[in-house]
Amino acid sequence: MTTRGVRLGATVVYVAAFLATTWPGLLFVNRVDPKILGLPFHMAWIAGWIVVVFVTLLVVDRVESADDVPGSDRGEGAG
Amino acid sequence: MERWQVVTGVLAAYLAVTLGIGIVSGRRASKSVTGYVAGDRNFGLLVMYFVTGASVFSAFAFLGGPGWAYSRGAASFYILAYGVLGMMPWYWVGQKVADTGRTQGFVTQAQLITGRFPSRFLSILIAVLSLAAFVPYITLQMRGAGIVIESVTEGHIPLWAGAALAYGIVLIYVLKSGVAAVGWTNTFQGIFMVVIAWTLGLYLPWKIYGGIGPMFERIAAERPELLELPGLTSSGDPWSWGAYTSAIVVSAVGLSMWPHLFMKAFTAKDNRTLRRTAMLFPTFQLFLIPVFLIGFAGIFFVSPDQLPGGDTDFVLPVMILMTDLPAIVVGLFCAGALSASMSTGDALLHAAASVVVEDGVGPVRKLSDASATRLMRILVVVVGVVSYWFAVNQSSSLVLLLLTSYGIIAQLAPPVIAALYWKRATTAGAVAGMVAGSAAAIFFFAFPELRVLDLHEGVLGLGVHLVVLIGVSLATSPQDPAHVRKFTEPTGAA
Repeated sequence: MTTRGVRLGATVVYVAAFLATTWPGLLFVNRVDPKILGLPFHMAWIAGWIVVVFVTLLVVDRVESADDVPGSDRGEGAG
Repeated sequence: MERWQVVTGVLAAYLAVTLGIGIVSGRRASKSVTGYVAGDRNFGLLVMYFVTGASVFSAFAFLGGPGWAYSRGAASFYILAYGVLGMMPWYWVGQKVADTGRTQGFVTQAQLITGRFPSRFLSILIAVLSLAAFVPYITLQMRGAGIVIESVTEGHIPLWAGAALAYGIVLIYVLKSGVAAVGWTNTFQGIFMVVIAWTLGLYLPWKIYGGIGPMFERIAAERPELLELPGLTSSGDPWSWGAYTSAIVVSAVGLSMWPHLFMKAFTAKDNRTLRRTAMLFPTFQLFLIPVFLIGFAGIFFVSPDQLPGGDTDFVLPVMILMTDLPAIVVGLFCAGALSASMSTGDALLHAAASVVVEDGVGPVRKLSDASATRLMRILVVVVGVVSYWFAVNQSSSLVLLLLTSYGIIAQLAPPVIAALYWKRATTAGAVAGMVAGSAAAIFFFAFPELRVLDLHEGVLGLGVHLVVLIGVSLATSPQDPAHVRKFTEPTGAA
């Protein structure tokens, strides 16, 4: 995967996470059941998005770190 | 020995260890201003991780979070959401900040902003705004420490004395060692907090209700309004979506702009460490879940008149003390809450003083290293005393204090982003935007009934800020491209 592709993907995930955890996204999950691991559905939904962002950042970091020139600090390209 | 004495003993031991670590670690940092402010730029991943986590999760998360879950229900979920939304962009922005810091020697965010937009007025304005945001934030931490100590000692040590004791210790190690002490004590405190929070967050619902699921079933059956998003206001009426969403927006925008966190980009050993810290941040966010579970568990366990002054920020310590847990566990937990307060409070005090010296005084008068460090120490004490006065004399909810500070600090985001990403931005635009945005935020703070859609004053301020920043920039002549490139492409074009 290219850095460019990964950044585009990360942006999509970010916008989705934003809409899902604020108005209007939350209107669609505003209920207690079904419970997930005992948590009310909306609380588990928000927690789920935290995990999604974390996994996204793990992927992003793998790709971006592969671009690093060993022994230097350069991580930022022109993109 | 009585129960409260054992608990107090644990707390005293904890405070002694913190003080010890704080003093010992300081011997290793150099005596220069860079050493005091930026820890000689050599924090490794473990320390960075806990510095970031522990300084973001504070008395606010540990006491205010459960207080909101207890009294305002689902409204508290905004706190879950904003952290990741605020931190994810920092993965990239943070690196760029670090690159410009390294190539041009910046140690504060005003230096970065005024590096791109040279203006002595802007630098002083940023210092004043940062200070205005820091005071309620530090006040919150001190109240938190006081609340823990007052509850634990069953009122034998009142809030004012508890806050004075805890922050006396914080002052000692911040004054002695600067940021190095903050790093090592936060590592210790961060580990402590995470372990204790998960243990109790799972134990209490199980102990009181027979599990997390049964607990929420009971709340849904008897107090369904608490589990209906966007939750309740402090007076028990339904909260508005505008207020809920804008609380998330202002907190997400403000999160990485806090000088104590922002300056970590200048402290990091390398970009890899910085990126990893941003990457791992959501794991800290998940730690709010057990903390909220503790607050929810209190709903049918603690009645509001059992809380001192009906203050819901007391719910967590009061509840822990009502359980039949061994005194030593209660003591450890309260030490965890105390560490949450102190680990943020120390970073805040240190950053507030650094900002005033570097950005408020620095541009006006050149100070020698020795006198800058001395002035910084004096300011740490002054800011501490002012915040302490508010902590003892004001009694706003911890979360509201924090939201107010976020409204101010979020105003630093537009100039930072413009400095690093928008070539066409000009000094006039940055200054005008900052003045208009802050004025609008203050106006809507003072006249809450005029807020559009019940939006947070900080978000309304940001709206005005962006319009003015863009409008004035486009109306004035562009900056020299060579100058702009040092910020938009700090490592040179690849």
